[in-house]
Amino acid sequence: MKLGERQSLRQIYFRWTIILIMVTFIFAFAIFRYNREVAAISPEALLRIRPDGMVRVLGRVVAGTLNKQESAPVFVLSGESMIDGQTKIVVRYIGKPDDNLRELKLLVFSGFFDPGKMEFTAQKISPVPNIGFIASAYLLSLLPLMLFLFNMERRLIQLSILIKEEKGYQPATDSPPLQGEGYGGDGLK
Amino acid sequence: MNKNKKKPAIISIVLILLGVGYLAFSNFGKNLVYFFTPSEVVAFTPSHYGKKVRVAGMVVRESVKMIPNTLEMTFRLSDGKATIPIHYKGVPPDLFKEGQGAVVEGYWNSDLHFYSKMIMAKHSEDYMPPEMKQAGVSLPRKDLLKTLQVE
Amino acid sequence: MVSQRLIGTLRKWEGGVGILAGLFIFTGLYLGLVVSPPDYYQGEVVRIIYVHVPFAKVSLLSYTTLFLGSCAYLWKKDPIVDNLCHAAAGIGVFFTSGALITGSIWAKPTWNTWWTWDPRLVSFAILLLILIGYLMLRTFVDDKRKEAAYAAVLAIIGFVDLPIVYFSVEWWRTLHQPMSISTRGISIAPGMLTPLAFMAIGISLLFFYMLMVRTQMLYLQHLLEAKRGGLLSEEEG
Repeated sequence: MKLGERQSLRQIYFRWTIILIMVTFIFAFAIFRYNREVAAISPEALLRIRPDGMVRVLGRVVAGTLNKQESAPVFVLSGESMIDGQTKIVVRYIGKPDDNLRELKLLVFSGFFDPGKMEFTAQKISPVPNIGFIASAYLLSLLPLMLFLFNMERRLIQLSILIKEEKGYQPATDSPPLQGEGYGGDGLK
Repeated sequence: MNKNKKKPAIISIVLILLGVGYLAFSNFGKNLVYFFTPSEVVAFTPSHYGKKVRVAGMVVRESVKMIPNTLEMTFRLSDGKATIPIHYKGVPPDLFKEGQGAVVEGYWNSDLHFYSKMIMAKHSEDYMPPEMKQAGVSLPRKDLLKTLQVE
Repeated sequence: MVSQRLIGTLRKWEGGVGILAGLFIFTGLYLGLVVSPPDYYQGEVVRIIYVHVPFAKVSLLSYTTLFLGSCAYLWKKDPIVDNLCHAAAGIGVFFTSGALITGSIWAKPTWNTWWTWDPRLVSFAILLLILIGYLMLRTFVDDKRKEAAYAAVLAIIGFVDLPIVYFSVEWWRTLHQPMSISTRGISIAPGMLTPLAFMAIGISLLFFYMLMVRTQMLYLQHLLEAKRGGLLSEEEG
């Protein structure tokens, strides 16, 4: 087997095109799932859109408003940031007792909005999705990984082409490479 | 390699060795006790008062009280043997929860309360979907406080 | 000759290992990002585990490879084994920094801090510094044989950090949670364990593929340098 006989750069580009397409597909599926099952709107958007069906709302439970005395806890939900004067809605949670429910906490509530009573009835509580953190963790690990590997593969091919072009190249099978001498030849004994 | 490159290379190696040494001997050595437990804090002598320390334990259930119209709250932290009262100022992290672990940074005051402006949530090594949790499934349960126990 | 045999073996196996790694990683990514459920406590952000844990495991795997290779080099003094160590260290720096970065991104929404002086985090950062020091040491020794020997010794000394990284969460008080998979049992639900296993196997296989590619790359690079250097030194006499 000769060192010079390697795949061409074109083969590498082809392979990496397929890899990129695969990764894009997986990310597209992930974004699709996120939009369908996780993405939530703000209380402000809820009042503006007033959707009929089930909807998810992301907001912070306003401090001092949570009343856990009744069978269904009632509280006021505000937007994500801590500034005063933003849109607030009254939420009634009718689901199973959930210890995630706490004041000053960002949560996602799934349920229905009643425009008549101006009240949101929540059936399910989920933690904040933190989608930005997930996306950046995946992008900051996988993109450099692909770049690192791609460069490595490309460099290997370029080197083998260079070696092939070097004058006086001997097929490696019968003569030891000169590299051994660079190391003092100890390894050749 | 030529001589011109040698100097920066040696300097950077020395810097790295200093970095390793610093991490290993100063902070790492100190942080072999990364946090104290409530029972240790209760035993603090007046010389410890006001010094910045970390204390970790379980947030006692039903102990979190928000002080209305301020960003302050109080709760109790326990390691099973001792319980200490904590005063916290700020927005607690989203994963801060009763019955879960928390590492609290602050100081132990002479009034025997712990004052803090920084809470870190400590979660266990259990991972499972909400449905399983609600169905009451428990994974091979280890002690969340394992690392809190005094040798 | 050992070098030629090894290069031949690497070239024979690299394609298969690479394809297998790709299949495992694609499956793992799909399961992890699309199929697997959120966590009861952390919610969606638990998905970071599927990159963070494999990256951290492979960091330890690459240092173990570096350690074993360095021992083998000091014993046999075979230059291609030195190329393999050099390759493992380069890949190790990549995965170690990747594990630190993904860990930091995961820590912010869960622990509420990007960094803390926790024994696990500090010992892992020391691992990164040892690897960077290893690569820097290699750039400033003139003699190739000395370079390889010094580097091997450094790698062997640095190996003491590895058990510290691994057992830090069991020996000391840490913010970092203890091991999820240990002699005490497995505390990850099946729906989350499957993608994690796929990703861990896939990234480990990818490590071996990268090791094969990078070892050959460094081998050819030295071969080329030696050829060119050989031509020059003839003139110098």
